[in-house]
Amino acid sequence: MNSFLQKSSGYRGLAASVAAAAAVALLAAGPWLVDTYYLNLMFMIGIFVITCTGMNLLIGYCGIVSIGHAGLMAVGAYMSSFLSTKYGMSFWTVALIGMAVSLVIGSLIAIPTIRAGGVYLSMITIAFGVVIHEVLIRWDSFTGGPLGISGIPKPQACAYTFDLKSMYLLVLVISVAALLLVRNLRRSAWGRAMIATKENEIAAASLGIRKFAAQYAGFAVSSVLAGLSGALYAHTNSFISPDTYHFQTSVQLVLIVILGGAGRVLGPVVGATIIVFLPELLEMEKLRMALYGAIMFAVLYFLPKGIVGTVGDFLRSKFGKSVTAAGSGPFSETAASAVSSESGSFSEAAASTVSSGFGLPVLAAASAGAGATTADFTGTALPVHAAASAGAGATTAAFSGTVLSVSAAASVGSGSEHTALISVVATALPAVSAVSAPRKESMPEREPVASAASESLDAANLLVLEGINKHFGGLHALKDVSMAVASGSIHSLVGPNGAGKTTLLNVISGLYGADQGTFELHGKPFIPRSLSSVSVRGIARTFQHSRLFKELSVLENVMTGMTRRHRCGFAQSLLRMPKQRRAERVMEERARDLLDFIGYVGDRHMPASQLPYGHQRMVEIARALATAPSLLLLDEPAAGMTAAEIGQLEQLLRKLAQNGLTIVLIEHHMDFVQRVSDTVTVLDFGRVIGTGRPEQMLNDPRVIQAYLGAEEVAASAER
Amino acid sequence: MSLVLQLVISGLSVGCLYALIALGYSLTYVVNGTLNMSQGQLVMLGGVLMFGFAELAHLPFLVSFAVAALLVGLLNLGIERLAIRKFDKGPNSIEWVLSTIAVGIIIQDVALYFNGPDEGVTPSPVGEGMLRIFGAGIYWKEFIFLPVVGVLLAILILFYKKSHWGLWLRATADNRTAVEIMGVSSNKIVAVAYVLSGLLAGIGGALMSTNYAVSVDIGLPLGLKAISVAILAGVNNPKGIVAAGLLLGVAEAVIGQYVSTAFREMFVYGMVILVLYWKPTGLFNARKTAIKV
Amino acid sequence: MKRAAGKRWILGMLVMAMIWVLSACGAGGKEGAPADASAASGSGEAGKEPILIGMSTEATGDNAMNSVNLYQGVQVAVDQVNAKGGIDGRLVELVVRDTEQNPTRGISIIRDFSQKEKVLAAIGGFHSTVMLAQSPVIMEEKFAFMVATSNVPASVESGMPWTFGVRMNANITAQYALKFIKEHFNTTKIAILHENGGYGKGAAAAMTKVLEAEGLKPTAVETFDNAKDKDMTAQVNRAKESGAEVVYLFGQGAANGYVLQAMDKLGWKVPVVGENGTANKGIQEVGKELADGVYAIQTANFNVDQTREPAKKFLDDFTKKFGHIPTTFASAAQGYDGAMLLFQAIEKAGLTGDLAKDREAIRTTLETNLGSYNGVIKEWEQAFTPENHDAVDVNSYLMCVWKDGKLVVSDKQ
Repeated sequence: MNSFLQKSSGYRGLAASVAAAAAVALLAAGPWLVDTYYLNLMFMIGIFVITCTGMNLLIGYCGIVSIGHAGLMAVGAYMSSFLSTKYGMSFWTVALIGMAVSLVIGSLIAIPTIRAGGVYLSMITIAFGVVIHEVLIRWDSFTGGPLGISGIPKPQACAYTFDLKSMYLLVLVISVAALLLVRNLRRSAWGRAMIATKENEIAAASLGIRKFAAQYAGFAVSSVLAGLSGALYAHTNSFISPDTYHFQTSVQLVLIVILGGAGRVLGPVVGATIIVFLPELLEMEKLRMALYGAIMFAVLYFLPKGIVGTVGDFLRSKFGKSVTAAGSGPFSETAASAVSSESGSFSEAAASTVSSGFGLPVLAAASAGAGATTADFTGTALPVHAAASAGAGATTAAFSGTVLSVSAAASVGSGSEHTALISVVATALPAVSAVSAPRKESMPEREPVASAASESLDAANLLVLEGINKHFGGLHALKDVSMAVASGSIHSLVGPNGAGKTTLLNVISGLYGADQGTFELHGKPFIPRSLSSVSVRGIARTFQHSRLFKELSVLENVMTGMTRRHRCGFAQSLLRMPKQRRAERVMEERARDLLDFIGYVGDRHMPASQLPYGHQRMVEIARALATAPSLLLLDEPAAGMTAAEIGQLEQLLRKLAQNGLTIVLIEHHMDFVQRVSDTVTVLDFGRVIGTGRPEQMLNDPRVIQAYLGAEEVAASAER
Repeated sequence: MSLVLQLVISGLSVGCLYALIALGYSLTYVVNGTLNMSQGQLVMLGGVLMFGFAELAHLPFLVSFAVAALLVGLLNLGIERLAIRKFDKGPNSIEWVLSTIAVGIIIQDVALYFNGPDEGVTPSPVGEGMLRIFGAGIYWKEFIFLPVVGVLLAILILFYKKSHWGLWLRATADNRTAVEIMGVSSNKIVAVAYVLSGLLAGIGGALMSTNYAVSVDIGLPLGLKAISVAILAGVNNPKGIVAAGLLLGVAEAVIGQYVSTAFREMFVYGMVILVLYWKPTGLFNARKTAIKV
Repeated sequence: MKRAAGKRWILGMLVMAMIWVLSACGAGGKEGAPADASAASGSGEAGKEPILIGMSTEATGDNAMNSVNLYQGVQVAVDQVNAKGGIDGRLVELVVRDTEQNPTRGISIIRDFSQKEKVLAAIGGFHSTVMLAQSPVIMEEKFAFMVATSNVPASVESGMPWTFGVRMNANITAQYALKFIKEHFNTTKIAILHENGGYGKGAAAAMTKVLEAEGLKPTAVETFDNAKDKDMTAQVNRAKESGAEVVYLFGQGAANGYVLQAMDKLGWKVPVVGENGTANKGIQEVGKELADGVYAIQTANFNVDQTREPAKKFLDDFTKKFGHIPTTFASAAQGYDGAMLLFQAIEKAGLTGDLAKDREAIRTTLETNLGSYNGVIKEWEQAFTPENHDAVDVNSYLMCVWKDGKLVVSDKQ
């Protein structure tokens, strides 16, 4: 079935490239088929396609809506025109210089824009567009002022002077090349990094993807392309003036991208065709501008994915694999957050649609015996091996060293946050003894595996926290938290809501800086400065709500985890060089292996947005594993999972720990914590009130008191 | 001395205009983080309607004024419903930038269709006389901008602090969900903010038409200028906006005199970029932008 | 859920309805223009192919008002020639396009005229930078183009064989203005205040050049933005401090009024001389009685009794057709005369039916064989030569001045 699909998609790909080649050939015949009126319009479409292909990268992939790109076109146009009219330099030189200067100015815009984000982002680009327009008007000696530059020479090559026909062909070649480059980029680690950053900045950063690099790359490409198209335009029409590059032009450029479909490679072609031909069709109609406005509005309102996006989805749903429309527009970070807030309903969906999900047999086989697991594991050549060498084998004496003295008796509060947890605790406590019994028997089985992996290392602590404090305004969220996580252990953090568990995780993973305290990783001091810097040190994490990149496929999601280690140079990705293709293949293979490892047997090319919620959580773990971490931080991985899925998760965690990965886990399912943990740390009101083996901790009088205290409050609230 | 005074006074009256328009942005921004990019065109519409009612239909000044402002306010209700509500999906969505730009284009062209390209000035009830202060001149019709802006600012602040709606508006800015839990529809509050913002635009336009010529194409440049005022000040700080508007008006006059008239526009937008670079929430901003989760 | 879907549908219907209404209005507008031509065709011979003339105008933008006058002037010319039975029995039909102040669109319009609509010649040239963008393309497409307003010299001068001007060339205007200022105000201390578009920039450059030719310099050159600047105190004060005794003012409409207001505030009273910008009613709307005494260089004035026969007839026809006199005198007069000169050239050239040959013939006729033409502005004897494509010379100007809220012919000429 799968191979059949692949084959048919292969045929389809071939058909598509044949059709594309035919279309380009037909367009290339244009100069001999149509008069200069249509040729000029087609030339303009080409100019817009070149600019908007770059902007598509920026808007569609990076999520940056720049309303100032006319300014960058102007920079390319003016730079090249000035040099060629003043110093008689050849077009080919000045076009390159124009592109370079455009890149410099584009970078100037990019730096504050990327920093600002949100509403201000568009405002900065508008401001830049206006400033550039003003400079064009005012800087007479360079720009010719409001009257612009006349008599710009046409390009020449070996005594041949380009006319409209040959310029059109040149523009056609360049725009096809630009489209291909952007298509290549979309299929590279850079493209995935851009989309990941756009969809979920935090999740992307936690995978070691630096937002600035990804978004700057988008800005750079779009600046260069805008500069190039500006130079082409100027040298074809022999005259430029500031009137060509005002605010409305920038809006028009954005409209082309949105109309065609942001993030669709062919979007700008469709958008530019409509925008260029529309005024010609309307000629002298009154209310033309209002009609443009209405079209712009209607597209935003009814076709948020643009024409290509909407038609593409329709065709796919009709002829392709079953695809349901995921309501994500061009800017879908919002969609992601909307989904995560409805996690409850999603988990229900998960329960009902397990059709394309995880194959239980795979997992069962994998975890049947310890020996089998190892074989399976090494066979798949997982990135986790890095972790294994770092601190495997620590499980043996894990518990003796991990219990740190707790500074003071936990202040058992009567805050209302506790009530939510009561039911969980109430059911969890009686189960403690029952669950812990079989676990004791399973523990010895793990020892040989761990020691087999690496006997040379002593039992050591992978991560040690000392006196961590964190304030949010007046709220003291973490108070002198000290904790040690043994290598290769599963270390759970439990405590009532608001106890500071997630805050602690966020501090470790670099999302928040700690106000006070020291960290040690592998026995060396370590400061979690930012999500991405922490990721580089081999710490991966998942989030309380699924933060998969919904626009990317399941496979691509896992591949984003490898961005930092395997990403090729930007130029290589643009040109799809052999080295880059090899790296892509390696990444894809590893991603497939990882998906096999976590037991995912569904469609790997399905957009992540269509996965049932429980499966999203599992894929997220695979994505975190793809960064080859030695420490995995999981924030409520079982939330929203069905009972069967929780079982799979438990097996997966065991398997990971057996392979030497250290796991810190926040979880509210107490029986799950009991079964899976080697060590449990209990937090309450930002303090550690105890650390120890699960059965020991959850029977600890102080811990029980904390929970009972909460229970009393709940009981009184019920009355 | 008299020259400096003249520059300051002239700058102040233009500054009033900037402040008035920029205030309209702040109202909507605080409730749901959106800026109506067609605000400039709404101001234009207020001015054109005012001119039409007072000069062409010969309605009494105050009636024309009220009707023009109310109509623009109501129009903004429609804009909120069509161009904002669907696109306001969270702190990082900016589709509303594009949808309101589209609305602005439509408003301008429809106004052109009905009004034509003519420019007109509505005669001010205070006449054409000039007030001289130590030799520096200001027309009475410009001079009244200052008290009007002052009174509007005072009303706005009172509204925020004392009225139910004002409290809800501020609460929505802080935490939309909390307001919903209290049983108040946040959509309704956003709509109220938009009507008020439209009213301000209408008042701004109508007032403007008493001293400056209004024609259908004055909207966009005014809107862009006012938005930079709002950003310079910090969009959610009404007092700061008025201060920034007045300052900008004066700065333009002073820079024009002592530096160069050619570069003052560049100066304004350059300032916006620098401020956003250095202090992304604005110069006078006390608290951070309302963060929505 | 169902209700929400219903609402969305209603909304959708509303937007669709709006688009439909808009396009319907638009279509109505379209039918309007050719209808004029066919209505006037009563006396012409039916069945013959009409003669197509391109009309590049501007219906939107901050000075569309002037452009509308140009278009109206051309329409009157077309009506008159069609009422007489057209040219060689063929009716004249305008192909009207709006440049939207957008040079890119302007270029497309030239290609459209030449290739798609196959016009014999065209008239227009309003927005200066659009005209500058169109000029090189006109040279490629090779048909005669009558520039009827744009004042920037370069669009007709400097090796442009296909463009002709019935417009106030900024260079010639500056010569005329300087002569006028010297003669009547006895000074050469001139401050130039101009808008930062092509119109104002062109005028400022021309005046500077003319002054430099006499070894002089403007005392100050200050710029403002038509759309953005409302307070001109700084510009006016700098001009005042420079010791100027005359202001050469080139802004559009209302902006000129703000300049007058600033002069009033600063108590600076010197003569103000401008061109079309000070002639249209924006300056008077804003400046009110301050506008009185402001000079405007024109080529015609329709507020006064017309003495010359063609001008009388033009004004009658214009008023009959549009219900009011032109609002910008020069634009309307130049549009009419430009169109009439083209028609005369077409008639004299004699059409063969070969488009390229006919276009070439029209051009050579304009340059060499046009003969005399008695128009609204003046009577010409061979308006153009191969060396000079500008029909309006220093002697064609008419100095006008604001008096009691009306632009009248000045006593000083």
